[in-house]
Amino acid sequence: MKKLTWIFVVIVLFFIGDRLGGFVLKKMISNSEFRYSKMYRGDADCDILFLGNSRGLGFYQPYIEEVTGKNTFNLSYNALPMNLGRVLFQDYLKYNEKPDLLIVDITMMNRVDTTLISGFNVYTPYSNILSNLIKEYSENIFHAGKLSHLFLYNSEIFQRAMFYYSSSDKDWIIDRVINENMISAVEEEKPFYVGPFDYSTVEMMFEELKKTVEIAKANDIKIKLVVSPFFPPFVEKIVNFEHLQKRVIMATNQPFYNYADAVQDPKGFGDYQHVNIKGAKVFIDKMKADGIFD
Amino acid sequence: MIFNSLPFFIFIGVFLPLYFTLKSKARLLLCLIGSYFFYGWWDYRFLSLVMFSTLIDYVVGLKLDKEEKGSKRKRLMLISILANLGFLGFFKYFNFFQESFISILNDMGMQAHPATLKILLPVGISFYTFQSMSYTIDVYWRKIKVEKDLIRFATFISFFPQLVAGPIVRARDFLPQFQKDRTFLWDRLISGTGQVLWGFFKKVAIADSLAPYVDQCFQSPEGFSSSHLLIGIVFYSFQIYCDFSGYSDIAIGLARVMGFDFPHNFRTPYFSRNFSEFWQRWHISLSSWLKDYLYIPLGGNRGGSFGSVFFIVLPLFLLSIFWSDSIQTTLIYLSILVIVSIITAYHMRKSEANMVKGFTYMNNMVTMLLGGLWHGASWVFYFWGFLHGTYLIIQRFLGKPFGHLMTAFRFPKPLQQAIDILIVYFFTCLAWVFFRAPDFDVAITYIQGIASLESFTITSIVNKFLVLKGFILIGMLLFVEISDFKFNYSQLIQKSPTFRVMSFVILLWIIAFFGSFGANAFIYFQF
Repeated sequence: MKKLTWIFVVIVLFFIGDRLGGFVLKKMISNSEFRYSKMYRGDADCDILFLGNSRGLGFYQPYIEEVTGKNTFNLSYNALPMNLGRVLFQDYLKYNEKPDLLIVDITMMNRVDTTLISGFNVYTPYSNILSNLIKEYSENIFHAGKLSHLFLYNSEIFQRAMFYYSSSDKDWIIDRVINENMISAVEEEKPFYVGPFDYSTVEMMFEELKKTVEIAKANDIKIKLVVSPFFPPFVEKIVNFEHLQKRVIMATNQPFYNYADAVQDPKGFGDYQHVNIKGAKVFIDKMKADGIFD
Repeated sequence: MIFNSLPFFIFIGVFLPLYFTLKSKARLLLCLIGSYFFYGWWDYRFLSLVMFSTLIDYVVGLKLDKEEKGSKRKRLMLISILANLGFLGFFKYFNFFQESFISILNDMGMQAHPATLKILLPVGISFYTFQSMSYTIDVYWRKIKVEKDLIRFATFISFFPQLVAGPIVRARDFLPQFQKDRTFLWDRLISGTGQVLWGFFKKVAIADSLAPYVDQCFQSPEGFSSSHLLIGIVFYSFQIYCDFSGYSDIAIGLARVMGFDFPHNFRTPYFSRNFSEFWQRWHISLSSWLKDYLYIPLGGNRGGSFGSVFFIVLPLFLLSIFWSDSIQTTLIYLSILVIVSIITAYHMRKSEANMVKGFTYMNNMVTMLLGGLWHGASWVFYFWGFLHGTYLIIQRFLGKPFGHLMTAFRFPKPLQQAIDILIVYFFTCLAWVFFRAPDFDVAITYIQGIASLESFTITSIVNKFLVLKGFILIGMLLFVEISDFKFNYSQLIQKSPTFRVMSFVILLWIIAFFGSFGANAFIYFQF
């Protein structure tokens, strides 16, 4: 019996520490200056809201605020898929004042990253629709998060939230310049499809884009769809702009503004798909000139 | 079935209580059925291979026991070796040799398009084949007694904790353990569970956390800065170590709970101060297998035969054809090969001592080359073996890495040891690049990427959060491994209940907080 006790003690201590750790980490998450922490505590009111994947981080907020004089907030994140973007937009509206304008980079329809979706486990205490989405994609992860509260914080999202615990991440943008190896290898790149290219997710992605547009319209929020810049020689590899335009109009009744070739200087890119601060400023100036922020 | 998956936890949850409830024969039978179920969960069709391999070696063993005539005994042993290596050769190397042959014909201007067979590699075939062969060879050498009980022998071959990725346990160490009936012991449960948890920490928390970063690096090394690639190879060195040694820890721990003692398979290999020490600490069960059944029969460090040259020169000759992109470079590689061969032969003929030295080098090289090929049917594995063979030979020349240089500088001993460790680690990592890369082009691009020192800055590292997490976990591992030299944690776990409880709880917290639970397969499954 005595020998069984230590197993019991291990289990009890594990759960005590797990719950205690989970409680402390939840407090830390809610106090962080990371964008989603701010959003879920209702500290993210803005005039212009952005939504996208890693390419959406090219909506460089400090410069946009400088040229427009408006407040901005960016919900973009690396590999953020459209369905998670729609959920975050809905949660934004739940916890914050509605913005005047929503700008969506539609290349976020590219793919579904299950690991990223489950990484948002961190914010499930604040959102049922987020919980449901995680449950839909990774039921095991969802249940593991219920069993161990420490496991809820086992993700890159949590690490970022800690990194930005006391400093804002609104000025984050790629700070490198595309290297020579990549420039010379661009010719060997295969044809590239903007938007959903995985057949199993195409319909879902357009449906989620449609829902996002509908939610914005129902809340009297103007919405603009854009494609942000690609490295110029890489643009030639993109083969489906026309088809994408048709599908987007069919789904949303809205055209998209194509800025794929808006930045011509190679030094304005960190790689084929991401502008750096130099490229972002050129891109933003063009959007401003086209009245996208109006 | 893999250890880090839900089906395995259900399996072990049912298996262990049953195992300790049953006695003697019934328990052995359960062990065999459980092992076949464990293996068949992955692909039941390949169970027939395990069974066939078992039957052949069982029958050959029995016949070897009865047969007294040397030539007949030799023939019997050859039957076993040919059957085992035949399976291994067909399932693991058929595509490789066929593709290499076609490639050479095409290079020579002859267009060959034979029908290709898509052969699936049976999991663990390299491990159980070697384990099975060692039994027959040991019976042939009369080092062990023959096993007459088929169930016991079949369980020895298919024992599920170590069936698919080792450690390769010798019959002389393992079979006698089946003689005694196992009883449940708390001490074994404690130490075994501790080792299983430590194995899960290494696999789930460290190896699987480092994997995405490493995969990204080797997918397109041209897209990353030198600092990013450098971290990539450091991460890979720990990924493969934690993945494989994690599996071994889980296997050894499970076996211990069940009442069996397996030898260590890894002993902090990255703290090795020379390359022979590295091979005494890395995948010990394979290294010692190769030493006992290949290196020593070849002559070891006492002699050998020129037949070994075949294993070295011919593949290197083929490799030089694959690697070169023009006739000129092929000729350059071949010239180097010929010159090195002539110089070696010239020196070997000079004196008896040189002859012995030369054979020792050749035996080292053959062992490492075949060890490389054991890992996979690819020229990059062969080259990985070649690099390690070269390291061992150079080390024999120098005494130990840069040994003379150290003496000349009169470094303090701890500093000298640290430098030795770093040198061995550096060259081990260099070889890992070839081991991990899908082909030579990627490996060369990778090394050029690091050596160019282009954008060698922290800012050019992509995904810094993964890097931070990786270094934190590696730091934890090194902290435990270094402090274990002083404190001997496995003994502390047995002696101190407080330490035991706290270490188990902390490991569980770390696994929950850092673990990657995608049920990623173990790297060595592919071998």
